Amino acid sequence: MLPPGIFLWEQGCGGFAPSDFPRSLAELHPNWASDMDSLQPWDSSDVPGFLQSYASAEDAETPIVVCCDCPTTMDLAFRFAEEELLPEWGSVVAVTQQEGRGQLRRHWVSPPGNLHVSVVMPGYTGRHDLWGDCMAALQPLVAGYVFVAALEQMGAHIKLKWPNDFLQGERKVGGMLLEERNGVIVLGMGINLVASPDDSEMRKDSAAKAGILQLSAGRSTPLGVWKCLVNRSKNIYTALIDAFSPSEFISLAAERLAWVGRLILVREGGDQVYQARIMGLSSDGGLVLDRNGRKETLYSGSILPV
Amino acid sequence: MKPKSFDQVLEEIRGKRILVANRGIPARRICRSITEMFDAIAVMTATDVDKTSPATSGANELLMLGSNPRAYLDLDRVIREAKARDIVAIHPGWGFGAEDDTFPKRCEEAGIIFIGPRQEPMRILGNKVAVRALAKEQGVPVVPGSEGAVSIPEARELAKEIGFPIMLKAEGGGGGRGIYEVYEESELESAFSKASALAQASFGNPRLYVEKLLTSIRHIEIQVIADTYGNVFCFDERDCSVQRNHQKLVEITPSPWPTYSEELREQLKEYSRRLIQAVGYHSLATVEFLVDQEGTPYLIEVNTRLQVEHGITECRYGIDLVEEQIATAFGSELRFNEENTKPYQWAMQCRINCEDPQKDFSPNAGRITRYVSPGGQGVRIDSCVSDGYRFPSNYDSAAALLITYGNSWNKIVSLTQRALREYMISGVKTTIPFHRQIIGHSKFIEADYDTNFIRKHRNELMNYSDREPESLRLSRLIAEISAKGYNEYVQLGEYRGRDDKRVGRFEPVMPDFPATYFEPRITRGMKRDSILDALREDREKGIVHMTDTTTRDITQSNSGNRFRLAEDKLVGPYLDRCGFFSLENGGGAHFHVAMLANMTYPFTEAKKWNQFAPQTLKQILIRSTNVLGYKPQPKNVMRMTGEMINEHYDVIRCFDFLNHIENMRPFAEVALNSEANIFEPAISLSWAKGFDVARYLEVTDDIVGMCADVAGVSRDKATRMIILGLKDMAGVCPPRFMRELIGSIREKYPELVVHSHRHYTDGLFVPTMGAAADAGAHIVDVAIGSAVRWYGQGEVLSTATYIEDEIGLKTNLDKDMIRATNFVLKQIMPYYDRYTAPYFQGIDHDVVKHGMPGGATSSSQEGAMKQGYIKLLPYMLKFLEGTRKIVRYHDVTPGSQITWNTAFLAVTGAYKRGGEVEVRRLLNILDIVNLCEESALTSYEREARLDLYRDSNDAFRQLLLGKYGKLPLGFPEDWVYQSAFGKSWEKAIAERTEESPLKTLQDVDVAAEESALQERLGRYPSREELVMYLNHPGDAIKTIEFCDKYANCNNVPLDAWFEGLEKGETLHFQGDCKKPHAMRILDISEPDENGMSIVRYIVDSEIVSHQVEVADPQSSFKDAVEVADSSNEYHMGSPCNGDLWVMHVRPGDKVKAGEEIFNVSVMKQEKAVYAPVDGIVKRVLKSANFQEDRLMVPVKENELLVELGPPADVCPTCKETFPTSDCRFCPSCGQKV
Repeated sequence: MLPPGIFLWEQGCGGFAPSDFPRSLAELHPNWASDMDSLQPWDSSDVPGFLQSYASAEDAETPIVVCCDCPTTMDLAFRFAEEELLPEWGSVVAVTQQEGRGQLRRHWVSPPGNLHVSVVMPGYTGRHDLWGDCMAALQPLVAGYVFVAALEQMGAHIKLKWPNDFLQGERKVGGMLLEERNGVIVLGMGINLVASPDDSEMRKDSAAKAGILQLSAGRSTPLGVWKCLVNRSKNIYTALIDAFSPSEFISLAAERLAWVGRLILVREGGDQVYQARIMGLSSDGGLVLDRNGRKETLYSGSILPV
Repeated sequence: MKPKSFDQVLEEIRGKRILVANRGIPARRICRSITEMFDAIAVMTATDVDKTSPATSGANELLMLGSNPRAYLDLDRVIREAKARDIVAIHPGWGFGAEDDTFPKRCEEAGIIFIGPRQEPMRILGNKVAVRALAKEQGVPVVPGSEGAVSIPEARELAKEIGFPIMLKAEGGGGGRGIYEVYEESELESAFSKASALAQASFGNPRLYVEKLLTSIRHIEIQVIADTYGNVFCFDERDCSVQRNHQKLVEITPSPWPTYSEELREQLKEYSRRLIQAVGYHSLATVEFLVDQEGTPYLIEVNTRLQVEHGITECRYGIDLVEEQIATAFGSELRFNEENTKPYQWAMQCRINCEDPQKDFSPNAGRITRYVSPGGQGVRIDSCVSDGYRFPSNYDSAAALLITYGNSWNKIVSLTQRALREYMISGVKTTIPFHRQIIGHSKFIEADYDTNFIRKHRNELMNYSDREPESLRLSRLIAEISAKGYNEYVQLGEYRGRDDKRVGRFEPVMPDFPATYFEPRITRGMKRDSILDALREDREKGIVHMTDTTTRDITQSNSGNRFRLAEDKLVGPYLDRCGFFSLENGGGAHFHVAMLANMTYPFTEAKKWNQFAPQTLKQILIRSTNVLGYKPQPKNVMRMTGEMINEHYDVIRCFDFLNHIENMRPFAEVALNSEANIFEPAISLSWAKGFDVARYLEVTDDIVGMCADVAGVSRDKATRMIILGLKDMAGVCPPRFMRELIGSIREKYPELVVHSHRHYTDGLFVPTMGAAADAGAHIVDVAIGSAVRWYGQGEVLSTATYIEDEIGLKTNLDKDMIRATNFVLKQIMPYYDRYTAPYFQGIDHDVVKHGMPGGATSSSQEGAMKQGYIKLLPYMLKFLEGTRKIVRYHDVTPGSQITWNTAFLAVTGAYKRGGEVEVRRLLNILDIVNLCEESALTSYEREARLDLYRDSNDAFRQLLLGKYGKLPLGFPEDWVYQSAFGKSWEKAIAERTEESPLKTLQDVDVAAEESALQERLGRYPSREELVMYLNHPGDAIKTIEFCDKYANCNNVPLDAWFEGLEKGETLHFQGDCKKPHAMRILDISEPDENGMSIVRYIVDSEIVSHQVEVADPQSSFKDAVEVADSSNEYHMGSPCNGDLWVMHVRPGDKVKAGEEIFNVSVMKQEKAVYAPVDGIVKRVLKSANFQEDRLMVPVKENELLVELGPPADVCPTCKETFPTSDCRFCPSCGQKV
């Protein structure tokens, strides 16, 4: 199992020697170059196949595996979790990925400089409390909430587009996806730190125009943001589960929800599209809608502003 | 400006509009003052959710805020609309905008009077840091701590200074939120980051400050009111120490705390006055202090608004604070002064919330189905709920404030207890029962509590059942049965419909007890030894005693066990007087069924029996290591159950299906230890080769030896301490065999009392019992005639007549009383016959071949029928006959179940493989195996016999391994293992054991089980509940929860239990406390689209509506959804309700275990489902390919999506897969297979 710290996956180095990294990555994006600069020197770690940075081990509370290029961080994270290399909250960050995917395997553009990361989420099946009973349903919302709260601590005012897209102003600056395989849950997240698709490139039915995340502190290197984000999210997650009941959580999450009271367009599974007004959240994390005076709860599908 | 008088203000406000910018309790409360005193127009804000809420009844007009439930916070909008509606003043209530210090300013700018303080004083007093600074300046003591938000090192430094424990408090927190307690320095670091994260998450502000954590403190607050002219009046304190997580639950004025002194009161008032005056504050305020054990006060905060608990101060002084607050806002001079405002009452408030205390106070919204508010003198209710109101989930959970007032502490405690008793809210869980626990707690009554009261006494306080009146709960159960037409709890499926013909009303005629001079020979209360002596003496005189099994074994076998305590109560008093040696009224499957279907606590049932039938001994049947269940129980559970059994039963009959006597030891230890209980170890009887008299004499030796060992006495002595049971559960041993067996036992052990039990199945009950009696049995089992079908025991009077007339012995029975009992039972049985035993009831002499015992004959047939295999039943019986000769044990529980399942699986398995031809082949080989010597078998036959147990289940394999105990005639031959275990058969043989399972079974961690149950119930389980849970966890919980929900269902009359009520019919029933109730159903509506029917009925004088789900909701799916069978590894169901967006396979595809088959998306969570095994896709029920067609397909949790089949065979020549398993030639290359 990898200990807390920052690691380089040798197979994912794209053929470069680690010492060449700053230079080669500078060509991809200067922010990565500065991240990599600060991590020198790399040395072998206790786990074969991984180099460890001894420069900045202190502020990483979880293992973070950096990979220069990979098909997708999701598959890597699942693989490392299965091989028992990544613990809960352990993550894989890629400079770029070839087959980055969003929900429903939609293509996710992954230009270097943005954050593309997959993190192993804590399991909950062993919990024998109220959370254990409802985490299965609430997990997407909890994940969305936790990262929004963490981003807020970093100076970004983010609203949650149900269930877990990040909206800053009216623009989507990031999103996440949870995949469960054989009981392991991996959360994939993309945050636009330096680039976002132009409005003209967006899918016709996409919910919001894309934007770049604005953080107050001026941190914008992918690793710098992620280190801070994952530490805080982990704390918030622990504190949330510790101190609040699921129903209290729902009211907390409702406060972060975007577009409450607004008329939106709902697109369910197939072609079905209709207008409804967002009322809030149901106790099992669904989106409560007012559809022509009738109260309905949405569990899947996407919403977009009218 | 010259102060206005109150009357001037009255005149000024008359007819004007005053807005309450709030909802719920505060809005209603404030509107009341506006309309009653000022004759003004009360306007209330309301969102769509609230527009028809009960609270709005207090307002003259509503100011609508639209659909956004959070619009109460949109102060600009409120002010804008108020302006447009000619509002002259706004009262913010409490919560929402009440503490937003921009509110007064914004009102002022709009030219509206804000009923509250001005912005600046509000800002200073409302800010915890600012008020602290002010307090220091004014000489008001504060809790030691930091002056503002701190960093970790600062916190560490400060903590050293003031000492641990400390509190980390969120700057943005309040209302008890955002407080983290730190007890040691080592915890500080992690607590700090957690608390900071939490503060950020909850209040959007991560900053923390440090405060000393005071232990054992009281929360005391002073209500203050001030006018704009500098007049300040301080009221007596409110004691709000009873809190949970810093949220107040009970508030009291004055404080009943003995340490609280007049000096302290004056001091707190003085501090409060100083703070208020220092900032020129007007309106209402509450100054909150913590007071430690010694009476030292510390200021904590000032609330600059009307508070939830203001009502008790009003009651203490007989005033209206809201009225005065409004008047001062309009410039009236404060009317209160020390001369005209004096306290004269005590008052207490309980905050009634819609929360479930036993589920961690989780808020629960929903329709309030019943609302009965308390009344009478000394009670005030401020509520926002009513009957029929759908309590919304959007807001806080406050439902009502219950205030009581009287002239002493004791008076208000009694008043509150009484009012809480009267207060009934159904449909949602409330804190009412929890409040009852608080107010009834001795420490509370002694006023010996602090802010940790709830935490300290949590367990006692949580130990309650939230129960509505019995009549209501029972009537709801009857309404449900009536609406459905059947009773789902008896677990007999939909055995009747609402309009089916009924057996009719059950109005039993109870005959008088016949006047006889009959004297029973043996009664409860006699010691074991004198009972056994009496039996031996009587036998010498030729008297044979009888045990009645009517309410246990016979109705178990004939009526599927479902005979209820309700009917026991009718026949029990008659049975008690018949002169039986004992009444078998418990144990066996009856124990389980009490919970499974009769929804009755089994030991409570036993206790009741001893009340309504106090005279005759009670007898129970237990299954050695399985006790009252179906698998071996650890020793400690056996003992606990044993102790409970000893308490309620006199005779304990215990059997082991392997006759492995060691398995009975823990029970023998409990039973032989008591002088009152009689231990009756029983021999399980089969009539087959190898199970002969000599064999059973060996078992008898084992029994005597084990009992002698346990009791620490000689074998001779041991034979005088016990009864030996003989248990022919199948009803197969013929008269001549029983005569020989009992004769031999009596000869070898002349002092041993013998009790013979058998079933009627072979039709030879009477002559066999005659033979048993003739051979020397002391007791025989019989039952009352009208309950006798052919599977249970035989009939008492005919058996007695045979024994008396044919054999020439005597019996000791009150036959007239038996006839009276029979008459009562005749009226009961039709209901049980109709609903619980619709299957085969006749004689089956074939039992001597197949050996299926008692009720198992009919239940196995029922099983075969229900599963559509009735045509295979003759084969199954043939298989039973054969397998009994291969694997040798006795066909009693659980052996009979194992044998039956083995036969069922073998025959259906063969049928699935190759139809009836294959089944006949299987039975053929079974015959050959049983007829031929091993050496005579061909290699083909040896191969073929391995099919016999290839489909056997785990229980059978466990049996072969010796996990139930030692097989009576040793392990079967090796080929049986080869057949049952396949490749790992040699390992299985190596693992076999002949030890009692008790030796290896680990004790259960009873404490852990108890706390698991406690967690589940939200309260302490009783001892009986724990024992029930240890034996049958699932059904125990079902019954416990049923009883909490519906009360004791044995108060539901027999006809209503099975058939419910018809519309217009009146049913009379009694509750446990013997209160008579009448119920009449007015209407049962047709089910709506959700499948719900509404039953309207009258119970006593109350009209009740109850919703019952009588049909499945009409779903958008046209056809019913096929559900994945979780026990079938080839079934792949949807992991959740969601959308199927990709299906990777098509029928005919080969899949490998672990390959992703489909993926379901829900709320952006994608759940991949993998093939559990290698196989071939047989069916794909729904398909999707989102990436191509942008379509997702809705699926339900557990809906079958893919069915796999076993991996197909491959042609040895061309390697092509065979499309079906019955190919005789390869369809690809033509190779003969």
